[in-house]
Amino acid sequence: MSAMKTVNENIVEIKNLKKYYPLTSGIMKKVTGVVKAVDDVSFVIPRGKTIGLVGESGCGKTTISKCILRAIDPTEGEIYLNNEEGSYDLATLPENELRPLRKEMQMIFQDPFSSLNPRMNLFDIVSEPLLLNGMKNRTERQDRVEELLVKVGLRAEYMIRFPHAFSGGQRQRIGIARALALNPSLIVCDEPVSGLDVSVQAQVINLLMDLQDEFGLSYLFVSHDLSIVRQISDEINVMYLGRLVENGTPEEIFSSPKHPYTEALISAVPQADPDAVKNHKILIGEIPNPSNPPTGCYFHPRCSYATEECKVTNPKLTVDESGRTFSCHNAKDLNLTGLI
Amino acid sequence: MTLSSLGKIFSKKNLPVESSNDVNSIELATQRQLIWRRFKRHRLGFAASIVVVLFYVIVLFADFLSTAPPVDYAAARGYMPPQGIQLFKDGHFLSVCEVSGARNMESYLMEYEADCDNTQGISLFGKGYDYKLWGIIPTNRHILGMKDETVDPNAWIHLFGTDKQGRDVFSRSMHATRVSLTIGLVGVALSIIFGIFVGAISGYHGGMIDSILQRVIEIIRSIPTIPLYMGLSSAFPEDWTINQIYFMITVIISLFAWTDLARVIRGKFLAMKDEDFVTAARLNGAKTMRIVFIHMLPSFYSHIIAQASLSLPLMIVTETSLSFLGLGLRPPAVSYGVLLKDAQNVQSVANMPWLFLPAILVVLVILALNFMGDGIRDAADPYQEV
Amino acid sequence: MVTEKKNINKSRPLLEVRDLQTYFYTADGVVKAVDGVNLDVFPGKTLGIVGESGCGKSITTKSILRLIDNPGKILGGTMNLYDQSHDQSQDILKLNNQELKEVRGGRISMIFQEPMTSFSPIHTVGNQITEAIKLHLNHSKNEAIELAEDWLIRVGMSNPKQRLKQYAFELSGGQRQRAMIAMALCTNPDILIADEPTTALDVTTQAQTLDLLRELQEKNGMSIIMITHDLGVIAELADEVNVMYLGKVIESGTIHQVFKDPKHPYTHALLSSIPSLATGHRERLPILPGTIPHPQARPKGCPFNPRCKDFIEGTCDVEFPKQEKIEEGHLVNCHLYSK
Repeated sequence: MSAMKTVNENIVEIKNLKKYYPLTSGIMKKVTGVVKAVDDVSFVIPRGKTIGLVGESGCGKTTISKCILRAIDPTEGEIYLNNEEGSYDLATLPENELRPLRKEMQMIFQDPFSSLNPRMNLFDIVSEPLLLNGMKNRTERQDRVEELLVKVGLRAEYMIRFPHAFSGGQRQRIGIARALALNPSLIVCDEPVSGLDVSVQAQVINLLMDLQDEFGLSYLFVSHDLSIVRQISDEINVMYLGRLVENGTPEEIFSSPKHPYTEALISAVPQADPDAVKNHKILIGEIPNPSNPPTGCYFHPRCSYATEECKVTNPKLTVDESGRTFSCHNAKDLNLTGLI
Repeated sequence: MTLSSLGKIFSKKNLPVESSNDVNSIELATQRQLIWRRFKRHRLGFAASIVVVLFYVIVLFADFLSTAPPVDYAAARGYMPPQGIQLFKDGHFLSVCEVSGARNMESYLMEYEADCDNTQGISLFGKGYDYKLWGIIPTNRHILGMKDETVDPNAWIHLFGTDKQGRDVFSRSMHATRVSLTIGLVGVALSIIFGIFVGAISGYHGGMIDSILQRVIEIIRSIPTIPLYMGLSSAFPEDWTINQIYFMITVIISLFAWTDLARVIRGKFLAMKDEDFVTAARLNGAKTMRIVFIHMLPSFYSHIIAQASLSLPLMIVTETSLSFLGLGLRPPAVSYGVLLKDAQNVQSVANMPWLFLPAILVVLVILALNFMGDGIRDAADPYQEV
Repeated sequence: MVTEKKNINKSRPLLEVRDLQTYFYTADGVVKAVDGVNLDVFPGKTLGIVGESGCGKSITTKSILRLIDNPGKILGGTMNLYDQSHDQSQDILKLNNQELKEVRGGRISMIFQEPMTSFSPIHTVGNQITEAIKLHLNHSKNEAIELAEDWLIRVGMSNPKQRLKQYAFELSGGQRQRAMIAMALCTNPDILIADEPTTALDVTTQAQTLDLLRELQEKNGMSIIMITHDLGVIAELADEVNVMYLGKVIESGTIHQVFKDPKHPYTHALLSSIPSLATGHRERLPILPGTIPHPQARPKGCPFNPRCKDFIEGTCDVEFPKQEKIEEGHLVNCHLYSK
């Protein structure tokens, strides 16, 4: 922790990130169009904080997380990883230079069943990152795995068991232990609890928060569940069709959303309270096809506040005088409702 | 520890420690053990696998199980019907009736009469013709042999009868089993190696290489096989030994069979490439070789085994058909196809039904292999309940 | 709220399930997926069944339509389906195949989590909806097409004429969901069973679907049995709730009784462990320890006892608690309330 003073306070800085997928047709693979899965997105992940990334399926939130981990190569833009030694642009680094940096960023997956190799026992699963990063001594690895399993609330003697013996929540803990193995500074959590039973979700969320407090981890928390994102995040990015439409603290976003899409998202969340007001801001239709997005503001066909301007020009993501970041032409004139 | 006492611990401390019920065998079992558990429960598959094992016991001990040399002619014993073995007669534990034969001068066929008042004793592990077990150990012990060592042992025990030249059909079936089943096994082994190699490259690499390899496979599969086999087998030089032809037949068969396996393996690789645990390994800096051989291939070993045991019967049938058509092995080699070729006329159907006994073996082994393959496939399905 | 529509006796249930038992005979032993479940479905009301994986909520509704396949078996119980005036009833378990066909898709319809599975990929959406109408309502072809179109409009689909000619895979996820609802409702069923109808949907589409169901219920007066693990969805839609845990209903009552004053420790823990939009920033929610036991390793006595904070040794691990009445309509199976 002492070295942190000299280090950039943002662990990750994403600048103008773009990921386009070409659409091809025919045998000759002629490019007929392009899907802008991520379109000019910039944000930072401050050290020790949790950044929430929300939006509906297909909005590009998973693509961003994969770009940061370089599971896929971004089309354009920069992704800076800052550590004690300096600042690296992950977007362009060749694989062999990337490899030593990989241990600083880890991932927790959505599906607790597909994320663990069914042929390996817990020791092999959790110790693999150690082995791959040069810890050749088996006893050393064993000690570390033991420590990790206990840390995530499992018993050390589970080491010799195989994933099928565990429930979804326990498997997710195993995945977390694997992610922690190399003492990473950033963990990308891709919908880490959406595959779990309701009663276990809170266990995992609490564990993630405890680990963050203990190790000063930074999280990128990708989820469609606004309640959980609100609970765990320090800052939230709302995405729609590959673009960032609003950014702010949970307090700001939920009490006074600035973008009509954020408002609709919040109002759509069903509350486990029979007395909660049930008048949803119903959005018209569904997310448009990303290969053929609407003109102007991508959200205008579903927006009840859309004006002529929205159909023509795409609003830029701007910071207003009160420090709020959003992309909407009419934000000044709108008085959007958040949580009541 | 009982569940209720666990409950007490939790209610007191409320720690986020996971409860695990009892440490039973399932929780500690490896995937292989689980598959074995499920396979044992697949009754048909399990029974079939016992039959398959028996057949491969025959492969290993064909000579030992034979009662007569498979290629020795004895015209005087042609078309002898199957002999029954009698239990506990005349002081012998096992015995056969004496048989006397005479040629019917109208039909020129041998006619036999069993004289069961006079019996010849048989002993287990008796002496018979000389052979080398697995080509190494010289011996003359067989599972059945004549007690009276002065009589010609080859003339007596014909469990499946004899063929035209008086060769023992049972012994020939044992040897045919050895030949046909090893051709199948070697052929499958060759096609597995080739299939994994091509399938892994195709599936893991994807893109252009995948497209090219898939087109190649399609071309190979579109070639009509019978004419090609005819062409290839007629190209065998006349002076080739049985062993050389035997080997070439195996290679030819597996040249076509690998495509199926390659497709299956490619599909598995494609599906597995996006599994999260593979991504996790990749993100931790695992190299391609490690991902393929440590993470991906072991996940579908059992599928490969299942696929292999399903393509084995195809190999055996192919060999049988080729030999039957005269394109594969030719006498004096013995294989299922060669045996059935002997039985392919109307006369045999009517008068010598025992010549079809090898066909029963073929059907039996094919069915057993298919059932076993199905069983393994079902057992290997990871989504099945344990 | 529900408008008066038909001349129905609303105080008595339309469907009365008593002591339903559905067991699965697997190679490793018997799984009591549904073990003595009681349900009451009232006309024009929504009954929510909540529970986590393995609680038997889906098997319960499948049992109602007798859609249980090997190795499952409905062992016992009664399922009395009353007619509109509540004069006559039939026990679904005793129906012959012909009568069962009339009930399935006729008086009771079902919608699923994945709409693709309820449409055949080789027939158009229109074909399948009109087929259902012809089968159950004896309409001519033209009448059926008209009615199908009418239903597509009612579920809020644009271009109904064109949609009828499309295949299910040509529709978007939300449209498919709507088409499935139209197909389920076109025969005017008395009861609609909705099995996790919104789980695969985004929140915005989920809100659309829930609103649509509520609206249709107001217009048609059908009853809904809503199965979900999402307590929020239940709170939005249900009038009554049954909470299930490992094959048993452990608490039931009106939505207010159960959600505002949960009596069973499981219901209580479940409700307090889910974050709401009102949960504070980085607040630690009270957690429910442990995991749901494997269905074959069901704890003795009350199935919830190993995870229960109010566990009473010698009682909870011995006997399943009897049903206790907290107040009119609010029933709970818990030893804490035994007299």
